[in-house]
Amino acid sequence: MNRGWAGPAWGEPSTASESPVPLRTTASAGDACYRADGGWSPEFVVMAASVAGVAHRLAGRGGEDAYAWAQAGPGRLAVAVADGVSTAGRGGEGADVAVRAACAYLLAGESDNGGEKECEAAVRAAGEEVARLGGLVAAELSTTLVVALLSASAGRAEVSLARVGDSSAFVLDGTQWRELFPDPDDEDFRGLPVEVLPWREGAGPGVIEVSSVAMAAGSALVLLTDGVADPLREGPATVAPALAEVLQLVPTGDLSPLDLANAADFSRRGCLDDRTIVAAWPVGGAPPGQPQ
Amino acid sequence: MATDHLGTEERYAVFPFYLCLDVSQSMAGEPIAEVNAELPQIRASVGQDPAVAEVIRFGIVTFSDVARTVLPLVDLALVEAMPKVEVEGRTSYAAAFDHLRRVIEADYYTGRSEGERWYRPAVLFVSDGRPTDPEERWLEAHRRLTDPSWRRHPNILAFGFGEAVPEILATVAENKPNRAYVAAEGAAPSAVVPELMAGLVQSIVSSSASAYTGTPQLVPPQLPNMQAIPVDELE
Repeated sequence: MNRGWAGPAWGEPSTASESPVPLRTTASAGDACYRADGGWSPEFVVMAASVAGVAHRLAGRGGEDAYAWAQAGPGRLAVAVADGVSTAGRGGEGADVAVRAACAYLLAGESDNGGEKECEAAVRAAGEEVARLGGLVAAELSTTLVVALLSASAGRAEVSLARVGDSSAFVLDGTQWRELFPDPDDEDFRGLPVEVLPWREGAGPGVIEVSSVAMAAGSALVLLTDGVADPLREGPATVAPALAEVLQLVPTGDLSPLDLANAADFSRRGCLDDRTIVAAWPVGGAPPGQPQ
Repeated sequence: MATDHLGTEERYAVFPFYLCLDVSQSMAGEPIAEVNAELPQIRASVGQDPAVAEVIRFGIVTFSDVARTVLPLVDLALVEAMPKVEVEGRTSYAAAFDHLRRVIEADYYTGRSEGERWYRPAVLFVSDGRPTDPEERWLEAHRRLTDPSWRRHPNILAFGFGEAVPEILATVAENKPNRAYVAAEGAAPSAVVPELMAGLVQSIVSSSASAYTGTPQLVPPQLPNMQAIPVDELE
């Protein structure tokens, strides 16, 4: 391990990630710079990691991303990722509220619309919860949010998604990445402000984007904050294949959550933002590494 | 909607800043001495903060009768000492704007060839006087620099003191609100310049932070009526 904790170099290494991490004035498990988790069920394998970006670590701060998942009934899995807005003041708190509220909504099964509509409703519910908890200063809790609902059967899955902001979702099939929302670098989107929860004045729920995809057996749904999604898009010969290689070890049982956190903390020049990865595989009943 | 769009080109984000500094005769004495005293602070604050230096590229252009690049666009972590700027002749804004356009264009293509992804460059224009070249000449050069059809056109923040004219500085900043600042009439350069340079350092540091969190902004110094400007990415 180097002084700055960084994981493998994917592309030109960051010099900032070599700097010693100052001891934070206060810290607790809830705002740890490294958070990781995962597990197996007869229907899904899930693995998640969230690491505070180098810029936050060097400034003596924790990360402001959040993730959550919920097994929302037989064959149903809800996953969510959020990226708190650093300049808002309490963005990390807002991100945590948003992912919990979205998964709680999908867990409760309050909507019978199904699919994209159900995810859209989950994002709305998360926005309302952020606004409720923030009250008059709800903007301090500003956060992005992407929510996915997987419905699995025999190792395949139908996936519905909704989001506000620039956190994104990909399907990983072997070493091939496919983004499920429009590329933020597309000319149509360039220069537009990143939308957040709670809604900016004049924005409102109309800014929710939705998507859906049918996942083939063996493929993974991967939700990412922009701290990973941006370098993934910008590193087609480095970050994209390296992260794919790491994630391919999950279904075989050869990667731990801590390994994923270390990989998420890859060193790359100019990439210093918080990073969160949640990956979910529909499986056919056997634990990782066992024949399906 | 599903899109396949991962490209094939490795890219690294860079936020270029050009300090465009008036070194005409009126800067002689205390003002230029203050500038030279403060330039190392930019290197110390930007170049020695690894999180800032990774994103920021910084160059210095001076102008009088002619414009010169005294510090080519560079990662300040790699700079051992800042250049000393010297007082020269008159105050040709046209020379400054023409030079900036050439330099930005050349730097952009050099950066692209090295895998850099550029945020729209920022020009921090500092002058203590009015242009001495014909108005139509410097206005034409300014039009070329700010031409929206030229994709590399920079965002300009303009700062003035001494004999600088607020209306002219506003024109330099494209008459866009909150982008020009002129110190109070009669304010001593010995007080204005250090404050301004400290403000520019803070501007660069804050802008770098916005860049690596994915919502880049040109964050101006904390001066009256100045506001952050959203920054787009160049193609």
